[in-house]
Amino acid sequence: MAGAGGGTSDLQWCFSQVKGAIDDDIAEADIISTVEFNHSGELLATGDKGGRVVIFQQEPESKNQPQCRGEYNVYSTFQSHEPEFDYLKSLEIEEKINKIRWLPQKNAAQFLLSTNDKTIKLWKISERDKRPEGYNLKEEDGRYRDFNTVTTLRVPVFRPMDLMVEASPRRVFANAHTYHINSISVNSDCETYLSADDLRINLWNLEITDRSFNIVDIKPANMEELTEVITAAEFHPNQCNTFVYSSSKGTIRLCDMRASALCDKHSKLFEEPEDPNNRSFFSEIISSISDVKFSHSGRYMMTRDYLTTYQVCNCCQVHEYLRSKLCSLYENDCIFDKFECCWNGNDSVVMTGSYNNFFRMFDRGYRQDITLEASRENSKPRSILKPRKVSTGGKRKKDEISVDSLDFNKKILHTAWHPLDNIIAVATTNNLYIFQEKLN
Amino acid sequence: MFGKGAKRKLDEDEEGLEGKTLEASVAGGGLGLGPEGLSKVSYTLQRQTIFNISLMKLYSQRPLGEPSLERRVLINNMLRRIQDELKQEGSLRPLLFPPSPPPDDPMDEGYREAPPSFGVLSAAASAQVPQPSALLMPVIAPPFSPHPMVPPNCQASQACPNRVEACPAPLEACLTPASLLEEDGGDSAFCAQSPPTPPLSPPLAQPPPLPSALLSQVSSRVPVPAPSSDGFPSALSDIELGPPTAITRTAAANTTTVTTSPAPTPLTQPSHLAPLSPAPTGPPRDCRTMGAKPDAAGVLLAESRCTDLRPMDTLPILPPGGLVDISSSPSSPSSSSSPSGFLSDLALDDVLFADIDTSMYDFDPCTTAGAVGVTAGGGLAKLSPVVTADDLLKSLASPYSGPAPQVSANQPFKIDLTELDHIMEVLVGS
Repeated sequence: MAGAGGGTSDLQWCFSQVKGAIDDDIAEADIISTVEFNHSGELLATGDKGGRVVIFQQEPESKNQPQCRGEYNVYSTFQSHEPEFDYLKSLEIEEKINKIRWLPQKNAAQFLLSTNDKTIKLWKISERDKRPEGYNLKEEDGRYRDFNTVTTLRVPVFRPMDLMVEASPRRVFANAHTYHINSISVNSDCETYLSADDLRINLWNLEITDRSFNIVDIKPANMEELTEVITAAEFHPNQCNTFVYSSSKGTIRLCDMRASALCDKHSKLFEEPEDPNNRSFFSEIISSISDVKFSHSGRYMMTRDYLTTYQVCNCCQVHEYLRSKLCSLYENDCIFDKFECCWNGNDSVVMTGSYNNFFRMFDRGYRQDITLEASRENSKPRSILKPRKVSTGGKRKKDEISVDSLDFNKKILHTAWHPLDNIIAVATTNNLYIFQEKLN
Repeated sequence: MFGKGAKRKLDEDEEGLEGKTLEASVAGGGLGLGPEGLSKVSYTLQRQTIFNISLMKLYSQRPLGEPSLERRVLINNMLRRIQDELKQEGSLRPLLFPPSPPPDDPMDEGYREAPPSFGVLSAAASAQVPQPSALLMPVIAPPFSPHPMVPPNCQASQACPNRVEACPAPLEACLTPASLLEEDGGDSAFCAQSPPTPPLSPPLAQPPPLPSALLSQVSSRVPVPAPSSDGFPSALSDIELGPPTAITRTAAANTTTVTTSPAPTPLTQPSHLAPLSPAPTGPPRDCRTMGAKPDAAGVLLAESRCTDLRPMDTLPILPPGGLVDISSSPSSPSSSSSPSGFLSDLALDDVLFADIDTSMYDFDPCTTAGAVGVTAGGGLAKLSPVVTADDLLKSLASPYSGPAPQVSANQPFKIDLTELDHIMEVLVGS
């Protein structure tokens, strides 16, 4: 049950679960905005537009059914962020959770960072399965006893109770971002983390909420000259001094915090040169990087722009067939959709989402790719997902879908891969699909 | 294309038309081929469509919510690129001079931003293809006004085809460098020029009735004005570098046209007017009427106000605190989109090529001299208040509020009279 072995063609995916409302009428607040496994893969957190965080926990595998990895069931739900109003600017601050990042587990409790546009919060999720009973001064229901009735003393004892999962906010990191936060990333030192908005990146200490250090600032002195914004940022998984951030112009900058306090000068700059054959009005927009992810080992880096994902030295075209539709996609704003990408546990396969509830996996070693669909039709337990294909030419083979009949309202922006197993979580607009590797 | 062949929604009906035209035209080659691969016409058509869409995107926004900075920056870059392309193309093409529209054309009141751009575009297009403007204009004319205070004026779109088509206008024609002021033939043009300037424009630096174009001209003489409060790349600054010839002639044309209109009211301010000699020159030409009559009222009010202010030479239009307070709002994207610096550039086009009723204006050499003197000597401090209410509103609404309001001469007509009143009261201390 290690990471994906063999090419993606050897691996078959089957449906495991789907979470979320079934009806087509999607409540705005239910739109899933982020998905993240924790470091062990046991917990899966989702954030939605309504500011809620839902955490699923994997059931321990039963001996009876070795072919079925544990299912994910709701473990905890809490309201992480509330809508706010900025009176100074007369603007609503959305409660939508932009990102969730788990901290490595150090004790019994789990910690995660969740952020909306302006505020980051550190949540502690802890279990309680025992409670003290037998107080001297209080009844079981909490009422205070009349002193006169106390004739003996006893020692309260812990007794088991139904498992209760509590989520409590431990830190609130606020007022450090003028623009919208798009990324957070926990450092490998487990003491600091970064938060990035459109123009600045700040470094925080997890213990200190009233102070943060600005480490990148690309705000021009004259805002008229603003042509580029930060789109994503991430710490290196192993090197605590290294982080990377991407821009709307398709550049990626690798920075070393040891070099200077303000990391405006990058150590390395990556940029995909524009293909002159493909130049169009939309070249800049589609080169805007929507996500950047280091591989687990830290050796590779992956970026996602509108039509492609790049891993160092390897470019995978996600939905190249959209290139001819860019004008329409610009018109209906789909061209601004920010797709995320993720690595599998052993960094051999990358996954990213697309339209029509399709998602794609690219096997780097075998140079193969596959397109799958997350839909209710394929939702029978352990039904195997059939590879899908989008036809671009005039001739459409059976089972292929033509580009023109893709549903651009059904987009998979957020995906997550279990760090150790072949279990993936794929978020459609308001549903969370969990697929796992078919085991025989 | 969108969800199983569903028809697109209705406020995109126009887009639908464009879209189909666009798809048809690019059906063969896709978008990537550039002018060489696609036919020039379809490329231009496509560019215009994208330009239109981009403008619409920038200015239709969710209430309450803050639009994404990345999205705005990308759209803005797109607009800028198209504008640069047009500029380059325009510099290669001879200017087109439109016939003058009737002076009391009601269109365009308060609807300055978009038409000029499309006028430019259609002019660009019309150079290549005789007919496009008729096709394009109804489609292109934006259905709304970017400025919160100005109601959308759909008349603009209907009125457009006639005049926009005739709009001269590569964008650099709108450039208003200081050299314009020195241009001989063009002098009168400035006086005659376009719609009333922002009512709060200081009388000292600028005669109020001067078109905003003039304002920017003057401002270009002084050290660079404060950055655009809304942060969009100011084509204004780009604009200030180009050749003035077109403007001169256009303005002159306006003057000529204008003289036929009756003078609405005798005003005292004409004496405030343009620092330039009054001789109208140049062929009559006009891009569009600026709704002289409705503007006249604004002008009158502004002018009378400015007359009042005359004695208070050293007062800025707004109390410095007022300006500062507004502009010092945190330099973060604020709420509703406001006309961008980019649009200020477009409005400039409109302003410059508009036909205005300047019959009320007179050219007084004495004042001219005085004004020139003030202008020349005036520092930025005097000029920056010129932008005043425009900037006030813009910086309030602007997504990128900068440290100080931009000296932009873009929507002089946007200011409500009530706003005017209020501000004047503040200034006069009444």
